[in-house]
Amino acid sequence: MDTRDERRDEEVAADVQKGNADSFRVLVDRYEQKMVRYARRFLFAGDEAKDLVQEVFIKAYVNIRSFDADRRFSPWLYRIAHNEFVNALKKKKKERMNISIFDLDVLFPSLTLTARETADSGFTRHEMKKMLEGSLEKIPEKYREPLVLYYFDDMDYKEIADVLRVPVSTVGVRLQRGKTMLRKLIPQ
Amino acid sequence: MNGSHEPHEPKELMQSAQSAHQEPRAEGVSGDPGNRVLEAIKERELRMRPRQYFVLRAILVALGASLLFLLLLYVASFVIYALHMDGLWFAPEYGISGWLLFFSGLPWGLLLLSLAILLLLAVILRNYEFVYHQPLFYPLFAFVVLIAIGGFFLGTTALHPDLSRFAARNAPVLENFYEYETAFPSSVHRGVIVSLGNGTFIIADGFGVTSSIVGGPVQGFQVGDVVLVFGMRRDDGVIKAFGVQQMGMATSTIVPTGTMQ
Repeated sequence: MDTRDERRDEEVAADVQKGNADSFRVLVDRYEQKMVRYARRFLFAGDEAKDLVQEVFIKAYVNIRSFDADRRFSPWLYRIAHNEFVNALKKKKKERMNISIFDLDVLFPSLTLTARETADSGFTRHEMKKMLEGSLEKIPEKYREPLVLYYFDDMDYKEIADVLRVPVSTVGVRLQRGKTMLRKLIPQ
Repeated sequence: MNGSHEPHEPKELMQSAQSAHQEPRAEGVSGDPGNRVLEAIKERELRMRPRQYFVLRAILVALGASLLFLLLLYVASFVIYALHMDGLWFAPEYGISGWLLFFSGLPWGLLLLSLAILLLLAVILRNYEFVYHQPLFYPLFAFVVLIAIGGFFLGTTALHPDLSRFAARNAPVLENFYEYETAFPSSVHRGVIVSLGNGTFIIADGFGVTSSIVGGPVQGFQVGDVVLVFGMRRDDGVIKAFGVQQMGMATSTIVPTGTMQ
């Protein structure tokens, strides 16, 4: 683990873009474990998670010059991971996943949230994380992924929106819906 | 430069990555996906794509989206033009019968084509922040409004009549497109008033064929006026009109030469 390099991710990425491939190690060190955990929580992948994360870093390196160093690096890398993991899920399930840009919650996010769902879950962030650990697998991927990014990767709505390429309000809808599902799964 | 910041699939380099998958994992780094990648970089099995690649790709996407937008604008303006040409555009002014005629005669094929192009445009632009940062309904609605306004503007200019004349002379394939007719042209009759009577009048079409009209308003018309008559022809050959539209300067310019006297 590289703990000495105090440069921001974006500065390191800019350095890699200039041809300093060694700096890519800093990014790998910072994100490798996060990516493996993201894969395991989103896909429930065992050894496969490491192969997928390897693909994520390969794509990140090959395409790093498409990264705009004026923006945050983390959502860019997570976007690559999201694409990789969704493709893996599609192959696994051999069926169309319910993640489309023409989903109702992407077209009209505010219309799809019921009053019951907008109510506060009443749990702290820590409690939610604990509950999610045991129940993530029972929550559909569409709602599971924003929950993972929000509670385990500490992303805000805007960052999650950039990873999933959906409106910020859609992130809110999916998080609320995911929490509602979780509440139903946990006996009170 | 690359507005979408979409990570791209490195095809040729992925082949080397895939071959790396098939190789047995080296001891010491096997459990560590990051190390395998770093080794591949060190061994020069992996190379970064040049910035120009992404710039070129962004330009191509922008160009493709612009072409689709222009195609959509062209189709929308053609729909407006065709509706004017067939006279259906004016039918809703005459109540429910007019609206029914209007909807039954809409060029649904072209409208579905427009919808397909619009959705394709949304798919292409979905990775751009100005599209995905808000509910998709808004950019779609904005596109529809923009296309409707642009289509209306273009549809009532001399663009399509000029293209139609050009096609007739130089491009037979395009000419067929301009011979487009709506589903119920038999309910719309164009012609020049050649005679006015008590509650009836007679029109002559571009070929000199005359038709008697009953039921339509005759006030305000005079012999020589170019009109569109909305109504079905009865068995006796007389047209029972529910509406008569005088063709003004603006509309008469878009009626193809030859269909009227």
